[in-house]
Amino acid sequence: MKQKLVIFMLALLATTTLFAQNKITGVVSDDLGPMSGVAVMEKGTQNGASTDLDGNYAISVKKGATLVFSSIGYATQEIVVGDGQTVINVVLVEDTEFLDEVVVVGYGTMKRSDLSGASVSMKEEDLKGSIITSLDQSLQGRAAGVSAVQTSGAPGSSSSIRVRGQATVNANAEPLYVIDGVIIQGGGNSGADFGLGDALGNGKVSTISPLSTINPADIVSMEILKDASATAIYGAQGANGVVLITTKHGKAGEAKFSYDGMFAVSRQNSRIDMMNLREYAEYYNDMVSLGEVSANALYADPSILGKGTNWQDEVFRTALQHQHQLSAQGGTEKVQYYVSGSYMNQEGTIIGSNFDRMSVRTNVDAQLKKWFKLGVNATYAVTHDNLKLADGQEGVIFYSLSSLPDIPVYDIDGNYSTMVREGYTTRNPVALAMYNENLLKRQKLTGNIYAELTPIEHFAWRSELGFDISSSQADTYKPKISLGTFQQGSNSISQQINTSTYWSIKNYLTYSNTFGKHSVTAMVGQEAWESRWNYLRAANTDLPSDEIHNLSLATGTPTTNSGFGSAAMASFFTRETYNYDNRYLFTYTFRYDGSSNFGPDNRWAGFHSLAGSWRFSNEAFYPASWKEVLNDGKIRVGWGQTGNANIGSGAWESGMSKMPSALGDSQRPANIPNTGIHWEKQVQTNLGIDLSFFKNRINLTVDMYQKISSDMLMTMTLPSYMGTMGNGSSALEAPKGNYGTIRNRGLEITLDTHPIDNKNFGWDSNFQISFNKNKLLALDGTANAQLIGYGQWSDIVSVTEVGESLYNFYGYKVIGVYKDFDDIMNSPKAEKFPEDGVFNRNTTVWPGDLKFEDVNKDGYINELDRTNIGSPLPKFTFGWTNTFRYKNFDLSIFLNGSYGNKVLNYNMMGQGYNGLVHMNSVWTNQHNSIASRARLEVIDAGKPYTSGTWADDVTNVRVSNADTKTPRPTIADPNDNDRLSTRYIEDGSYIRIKNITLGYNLPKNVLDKVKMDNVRLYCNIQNLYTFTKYSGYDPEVGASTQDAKGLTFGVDNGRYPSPMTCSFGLNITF
Amino acid sequence: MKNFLKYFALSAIIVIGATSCEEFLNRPAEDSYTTANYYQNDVQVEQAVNYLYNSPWHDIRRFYIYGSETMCGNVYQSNNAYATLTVNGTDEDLVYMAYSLWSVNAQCNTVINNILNSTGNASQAAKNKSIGEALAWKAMAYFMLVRTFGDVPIIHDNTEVIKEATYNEQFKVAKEDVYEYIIMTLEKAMELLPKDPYIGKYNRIDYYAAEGLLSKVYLAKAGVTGTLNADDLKKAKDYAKDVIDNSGRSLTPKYSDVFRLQPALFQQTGENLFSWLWTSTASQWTSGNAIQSDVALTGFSEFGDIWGDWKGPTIDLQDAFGVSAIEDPELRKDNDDRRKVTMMMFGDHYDYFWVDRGGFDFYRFFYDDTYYPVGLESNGSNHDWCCQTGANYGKHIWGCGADHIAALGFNAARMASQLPTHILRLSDIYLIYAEACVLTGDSDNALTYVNKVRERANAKPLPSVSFDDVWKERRLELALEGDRWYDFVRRSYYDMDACIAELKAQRRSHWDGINSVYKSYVVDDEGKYAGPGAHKWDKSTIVYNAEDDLTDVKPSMFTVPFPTEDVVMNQNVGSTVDPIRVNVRETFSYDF
Repeated sequence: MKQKLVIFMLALLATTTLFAQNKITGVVSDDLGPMSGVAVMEKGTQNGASTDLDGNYAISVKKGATLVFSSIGYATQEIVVGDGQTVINVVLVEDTEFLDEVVVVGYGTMKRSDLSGASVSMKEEDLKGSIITSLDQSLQGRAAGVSAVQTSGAPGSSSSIRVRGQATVNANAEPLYVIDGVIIQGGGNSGADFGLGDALGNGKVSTISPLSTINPADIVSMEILKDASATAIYGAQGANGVVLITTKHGKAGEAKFSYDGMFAVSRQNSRIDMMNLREYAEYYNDMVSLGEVSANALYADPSILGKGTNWQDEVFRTALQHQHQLSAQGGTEKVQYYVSGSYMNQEGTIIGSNFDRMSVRTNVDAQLKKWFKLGVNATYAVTHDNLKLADGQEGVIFYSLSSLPDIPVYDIDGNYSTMVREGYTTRNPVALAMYNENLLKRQKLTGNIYAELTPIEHFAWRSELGFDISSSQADTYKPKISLGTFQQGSNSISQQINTSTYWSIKNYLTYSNTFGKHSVTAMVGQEAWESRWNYLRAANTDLPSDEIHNLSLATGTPTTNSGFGSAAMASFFTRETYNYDNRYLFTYTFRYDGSSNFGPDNRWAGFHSLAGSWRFSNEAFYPASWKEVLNDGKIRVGWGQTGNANIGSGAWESGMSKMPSALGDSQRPANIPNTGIHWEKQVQTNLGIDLSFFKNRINLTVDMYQKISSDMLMTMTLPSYMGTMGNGSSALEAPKGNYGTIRNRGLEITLDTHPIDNKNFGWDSNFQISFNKNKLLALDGTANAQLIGYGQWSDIVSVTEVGESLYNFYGYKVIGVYKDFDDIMNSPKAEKFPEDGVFNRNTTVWPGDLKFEDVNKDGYINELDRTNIGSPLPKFTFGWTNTFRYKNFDLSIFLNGSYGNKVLNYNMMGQGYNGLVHMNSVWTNQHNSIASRARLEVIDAGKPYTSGTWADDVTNVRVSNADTKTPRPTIADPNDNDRLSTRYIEDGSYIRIKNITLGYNLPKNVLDKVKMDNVRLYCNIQNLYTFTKYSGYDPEVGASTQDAKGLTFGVDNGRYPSPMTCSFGLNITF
Repeated sequence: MKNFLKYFALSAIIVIGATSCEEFLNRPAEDSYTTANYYQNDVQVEQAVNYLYNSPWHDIRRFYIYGSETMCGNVYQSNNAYATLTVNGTDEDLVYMAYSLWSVNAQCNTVINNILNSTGNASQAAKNKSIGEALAWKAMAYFMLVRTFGDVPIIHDNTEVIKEATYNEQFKVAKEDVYEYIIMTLEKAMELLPKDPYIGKYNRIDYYAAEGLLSKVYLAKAGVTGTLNADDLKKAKDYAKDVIDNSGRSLTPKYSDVFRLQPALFQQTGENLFSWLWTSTASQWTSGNAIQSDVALTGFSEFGDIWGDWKGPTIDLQDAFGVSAIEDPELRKDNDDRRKVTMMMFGDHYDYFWVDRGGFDFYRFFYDDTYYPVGLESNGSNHDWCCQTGANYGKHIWGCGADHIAALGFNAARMASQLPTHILRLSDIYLIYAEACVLTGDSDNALTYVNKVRERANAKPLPSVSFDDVWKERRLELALEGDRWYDFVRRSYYDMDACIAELKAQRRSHWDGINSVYKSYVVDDEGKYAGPGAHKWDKSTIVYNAEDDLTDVKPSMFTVPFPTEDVVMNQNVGSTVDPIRVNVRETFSYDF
């Protein structure tokens, strides 16, 4: 009341001061509170002021003047000073019209309107609200041209990110991540690199994400550079796209504190339709009736049996997650700070798995002199993973599917029970999950120190020292286990400690100036980095008890391993931009890179790029009236080169590995060297158009691109007779070199609309769709005709022929089953067709066996009839976000999907006796889809037999459901019905309700009462439902974690499914 | 001038910058040798071939020790493609066998080239010895390849083939020519290898080991054209005789000592010409012997790495030894020491396994709840007899940790023991000599050497010897050592009908009802182990189930298919493409 009175008095005073200039005062704020440093200008004059730390300003203006309030990143507001008005409080709104937003482009920033390349921004709001443990997960469906597929549903697990398709077959086709200018060091990508042995499978790719050590709540924006004109400034490291991440920085003003807290519950909603005990007993009895197995009294009457153990229910659990973050930011005009601390703990939906992370961050920027700015960004994080072998044929998921329902989880003594059947033990999946311990602790200190010097006008010099000091400690412990043939007779323990130190130094000088309508910037710079790593591993056996897991307690023979190495890169780069009247824009970049990965003659390579854009809506001839409809339009054209050196060091020389023998020490050549190995090159052209309609209410961006990667770095795939296949511990590694050419072509459309934007109600919609097609154009310098991908061990599941798209599944086409004897005789000859005419249901082809297509039409079914049976790559992917705002409520619904990709359901196929639809053993559970199996019946029931039955007489048996595509059950499986065929290829298209968030912001009057700046409550549901025809848990299957060569995609081999998660969160700022 | 200085300074910075950049970027391997700085002295040149005695052979083990032994009828496995001779080109054991053998060839070729190109101070003698060993191993690998796959490509120099990019244009070479290539390789090896035997420590391959292999190659090659070649037989005979007479090696006095862990036992007389010499002292995968895991009884050792009890020697092999698993074990009489060494049967007692417990007792293993190695809480077998032929592997197993320590002073590790695997023994050479003699009408000499082999095994000497006697003797002497299938293969070259007839006549299947008879013999009415005689031996409920006997054997089954993944890359190696003929000695040579 008192305040109101004062204002009233002041107003009275002002109106009575005739002929004098009006003095206007007020407070400028944004939704976080008062803003300092906001420019307040009297329009059309040089008269101006700026706000102080509390957002106050004072300015004397003429009567009827217009005040202009402006601040970078905020929409400029103009307010006409009314008669007698002396107080004007302004709330500035952040600029939602991106046009003049400043974006990070790598070694500098640019106004978005000046960009000629293709890049996408993701801002804090896009990250907020959805549960993101690892920031790569946030890229899914959010940015056109960026595909993100989670490799696992395990907590803290990685996503495979592909920017504009797969452009290289290196295991590491992931984009380059740069946080505040520091390249993130991925470290090891496979479980073995961390020292977890094959506890996570033998694949090149593991589910451990290098990005999960970064706290997503510290991030203010991400910029994804897609085309070569944008990425070329990263030269040799930019071929797979670049993700630039900017963390939060303080703003001048009084300290603001924020608390973000979240609590979530996750569970697996779907179950695979495996047989329960009753169904299994019926199947068993059917096998008995066919003479395949002997009768078992236990199953004699299925109707009296219960449902048995549902192993899927036993290994999955409802998992809890919570995270908390506290941050403070603020500062003076000269020094700003941002500090935060966070903790997150997430349980996995498979029993026993969990992940936690603790992180702290300090970002400080200080303007020490007018021409000298200094800053430090640093973050430290510790993560703990409790990992389980979920994937693969020996993983928890697969065993939970294949274990029979007649085995209980525990025996009567409360121990894990198990069953051995003819030497085959299905490992009790619960025991498997709970027994062995795989712990991974990672620590990372990363950040940079920079200095920015601006002593001369138009010139800016920036020096930056970046660092990344990481370590990981992997501990494994295996207790004694005795479960059938699954035995660990003595306990064993191992520990591996990896450390790596990375430093980078960069210096670059930027000149920028404007001459009338011409504005130019020129930048030259240098960068060098070095990375050193080492590891030490120790293992031992026979600890006195399972209680204390300390290596030094072990009494067995200890083993140790160690190694160290380094890599380095040196680069020089430049970028020139020219802008004429905001109509014509040109950018040229060049980077010259040298990498230690290559031999002396091939280290250096240069990468150019050129881009131009034309903002036709700023042309004089562009009618002003059209601006009502199409208010902004820009056409962009870009061309550029980038490179890739991701092949590891030492490919140009032949290293030796230690290999002990009973004759003493020995050294063996490890690989076949290729002294000519050099840079992989990529050339990309991009044509894009940006259109904004109705005052930016509708924004459309369309990009078309072609990128061709040539001299692609890869390991030669050689036939086994070249001696390079097999166990990595014994075989020579095939040479690595520059062999392939891949082309990716695509189209990306982003439609961003704001259909309703009222005071109380708003609706924003963002739809993006990406089409990409790739093709292996050539495998030069190698006679290889194809790239080969493996399933679990040595079984080929995909073959990429030259001229085809990558990673096509490779196998036989099923056209049905052999109906009867005549059908066998009249069809192309099966592999096990008896030349002597003597048929036997255990050793030759038989009615009910699968009939494969004779692809080469030679009259025989054999290995030459294998062919492309589907592509794991989608025809298009899309994402659609709708955000609604009603008063203080907001609702966001995010859908994403994929169309046209096939999934190889490897669980169904399995290995040997394991497959879920094999029907070649009665010791593993079967999927209910085998109900459609070929049912054999007698043709002439009256025919007499002296030995055997009608079931052994090929001429007297036929299939009753002749149009089925599921074979007969057979223990011997002479026709190899379980070989890879279209039988296991499924449509992986899906639409997923990925995320729904409902938020509520406390209204201003309530906030004022509780002295808060902002309070937000929200709830969120992730992965609510997936519309798909896929019969497994989850059609979203990325790079294979089981292929040691890393050349398979879309193979569902016991993938840890992504759970549905419900969360409740609270954000408070005060 | 000022400008000049400026430019000078600038170019100086660039030059210095560029050179230091080169230094900055030059990072050869830091924590290991490279081929450029290894092979510098005699020690390194010798060490450079040590690993050819173990690591690259590691992944052949499953095919060799039970895949091929199942095919030939020595080992029983139920529902198994090897048992029905129908293994296909995607079979994992087959694929890894191919990987392993070709890996040996590639490693040998590479090491030979590296030694030849080395620039250090190593002596010529050291280089010759190492190159000779590598050539001998290469010949061994090719010998296995030709007998497994028949026609195979010849990869003489991997680097060369890669350089010329002809690896996907390779054709299979006719097996006659592959044999010639093996002979050429062994001749070169013998030229380089030292003749002086390593007295007291017969661990490395010498001249006579290579010569022994050469005699075996000639015997196999003799029939390759379809009829036996007298020249080849004579060479087999002559080379074998030279080894027998002049190598200074002799048979180990006690048969079982050949298969023990202690060098003092298996190396005592130099019987073993070629052996895989595994080690358990380092954690490097592929350096240790992992065979026990696949063939021993679950729970036989405390490492939790064994799953082999469902496969075991066939009834047919038992018949050959003159024993039966369904007869009262207390009354079992062995004609021959080799039976018990080869296979464990109900009632057998071994003093060399489980030494810390006074030996291994096969009555108790399945039926006594308290009987398992120290460190294990059960044997995991559900207390039932597993292998339905009534026998399990006796070769390739070494016991539990205590046995390893007692023999060598250090322990084994999970899937890694120090037990050597012998792949060419002197007794084999005796029998090669005997066979070549029989086939060339010299039955007197044949009889002498067959009986020397029998004498060592305490088997009754034969009064006279025929081809069939030598044929059977080979089976008994070398059973489960990965050789028998290859006997069938080489015999099938010239006498297919006999091979098919023998395989069809084998008792390859199993007994039904064996477990309950065994159990009641040693377990009393309370269910406790009571020793033999707890109940009377009553075999009346045991019947032979013939379901796994072979009814259908075709000539094509004597070669196994090439891995299909190779066919994906190179259709020239497909099953329907004819091999090419090569003039081996003109096309390939070892001119060093």
